[in-house]
Amino acid sequence: MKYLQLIINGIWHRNPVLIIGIGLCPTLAVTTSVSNALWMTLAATFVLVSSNILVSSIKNIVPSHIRIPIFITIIAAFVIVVELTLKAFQPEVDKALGIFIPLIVVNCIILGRAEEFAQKNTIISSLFDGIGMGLGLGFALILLALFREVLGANKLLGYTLFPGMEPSLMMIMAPGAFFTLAFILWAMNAIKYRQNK
Amino acid sequence: MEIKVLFMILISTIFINNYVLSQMLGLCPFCGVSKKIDSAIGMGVAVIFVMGMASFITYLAYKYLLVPYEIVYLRTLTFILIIASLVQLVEMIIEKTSPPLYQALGIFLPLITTNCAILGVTVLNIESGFITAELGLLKTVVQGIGAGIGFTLALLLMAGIRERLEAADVPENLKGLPITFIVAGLLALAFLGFSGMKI
Amino acid sequence: MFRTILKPALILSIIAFLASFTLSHINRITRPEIEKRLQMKKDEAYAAVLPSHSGYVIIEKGKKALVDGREFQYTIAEKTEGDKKIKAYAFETMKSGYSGVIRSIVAVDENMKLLGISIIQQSETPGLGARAKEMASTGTFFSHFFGSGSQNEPVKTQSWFEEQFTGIDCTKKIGILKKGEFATADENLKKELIEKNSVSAITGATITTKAVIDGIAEGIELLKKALEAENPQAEVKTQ
Repeated sequence: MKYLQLIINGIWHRNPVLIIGIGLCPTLAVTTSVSNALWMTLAATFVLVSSNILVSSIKNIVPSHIRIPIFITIIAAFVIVVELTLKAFQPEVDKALGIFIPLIVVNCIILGRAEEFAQKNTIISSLFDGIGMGLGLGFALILLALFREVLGANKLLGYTLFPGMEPSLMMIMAPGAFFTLAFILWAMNAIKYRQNK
Repeated sequence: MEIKVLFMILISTIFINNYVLSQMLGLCPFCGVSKKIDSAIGMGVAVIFVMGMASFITYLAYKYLLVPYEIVYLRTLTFILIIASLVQLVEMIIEKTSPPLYQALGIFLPLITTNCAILGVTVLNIESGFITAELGLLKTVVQGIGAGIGFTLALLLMAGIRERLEAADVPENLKGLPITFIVAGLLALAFLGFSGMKI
Repeated sequence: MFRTILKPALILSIIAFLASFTLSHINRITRPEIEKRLQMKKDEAYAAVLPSHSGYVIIEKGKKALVDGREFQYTIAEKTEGDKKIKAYAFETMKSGYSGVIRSIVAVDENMKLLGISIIQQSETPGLGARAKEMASTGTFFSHFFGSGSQNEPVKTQSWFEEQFTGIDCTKKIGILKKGEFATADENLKKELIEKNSVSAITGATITTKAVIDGIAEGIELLKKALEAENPQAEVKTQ
């Protein structure tokens, strides 16, 4: 029950992107298509879960004043694992996500969870927290990508939706990302507002 | 000729490929520190400084350490550690030598480590092929500083607009992040006008 | 001294050592795979620009030449037409696009007419510049989803953007027209493009188009110089 709560927290109540507002760079940059969003979620969740587990299992032997560099080293190592694996077995994905794979290192969500949750909690809780937060990130990414791919490229998962229709290119580019996220956050606020009323 | 190339790199990183508004890097500080113009200037100066330094050092580390020893795959790890220790070092030096500057920049420096624009610019320097290019070091540093200036420009524009938004009558549910992103979207739309610009 | 400086430094070094140690192993596993894929991609690209049905056979791979103090590599292919031997050259070229480098393999015949190009690396914006690698397809999401539509389209090796470069004359400047997507079947457009020695730009990604063209032009310059440097020697050999 407690673990289920952790997952629900990650997806909804404490959604890292939509509620807390961190980890925005990958959210906006890679959501040009749903498949990119899915792969990004997978990569980030892997790093998130692994670093959460490792951080919480060494929490007692890490001197607190040098914990940040240690966390960064651990996270960077997992990111390189992802980087190499994708390069070797999914080169297309590696190309599509490009620079945003190495940039998972500086994704505030991962360092934030290590600092805020993993170093204070048990391994199992940290594992579920990682999964929850990963799903939360995935929820936000896929929601955004769905709007942007359909409106901006007239495609879904790479297949053309309505032949002959000219898509709105702006949605694929930077402004479209900002606008879509703005409208999603607006909708979230409206939902919260109604619940509180 | 080389001056022209350097100028082109500068203009393109500041306007055409603005790190925040067209490449979507460094958004966390862009949203977090853009409430006041004063703090935006402080953050901007700190970022320009660290980006220039980080570009310089990571270039040397990549070319003379990672490539010769064939450990290029450790790039991400090396760069982030360089940036983290660089930020720490700069913070300590500024604190000892110039307390007024530390007062102004101090609180922004720790935030910079997790600014993805910094790691982004160092990785992009490598991917732009500057390692094998002529005058690669100079180009790298120019690109780093240009990226910093572009970041500062976006931050300042945003802060200017947000200071005015304080007085505006924004709908309840749009307050906070949503309206910030709408403004950012409009700014990005304006910056799209630079794309395809010939120099 | 030990507590404040040495101990943290020691712990950090151990962690960094463990991390690099693990990574070196992962690198050892993935590296052959990565290299294999790179090579495969290059081979595919060469096969796409010098297809077997054109009759060209690669006779020398990766020939090195020193042009303007820099190394330039090109591949020579040959075909026999009657009693004449016709040569073709292929080389790799790179140019910065909208974001990052665009690398392409370019093949030209003796008269510097493009036989074909193939982009092997790009990190352009998906939906815009990245469409340079988009295969022309008539299938839609619904036709794939519901299994209707044409399932047996011929497998293509080149995107529509790459296809239109075939036949362009590199001794002249290559122009850019904004004619939208180029369809291979569109004879009129093809004629117009050849007439004006131009290619049709990718919608919303003129920079990408221009980078590819500039890359070709730069490579051709180098190739010409390399061949000029080669030629006197060739004459000596034949005498």
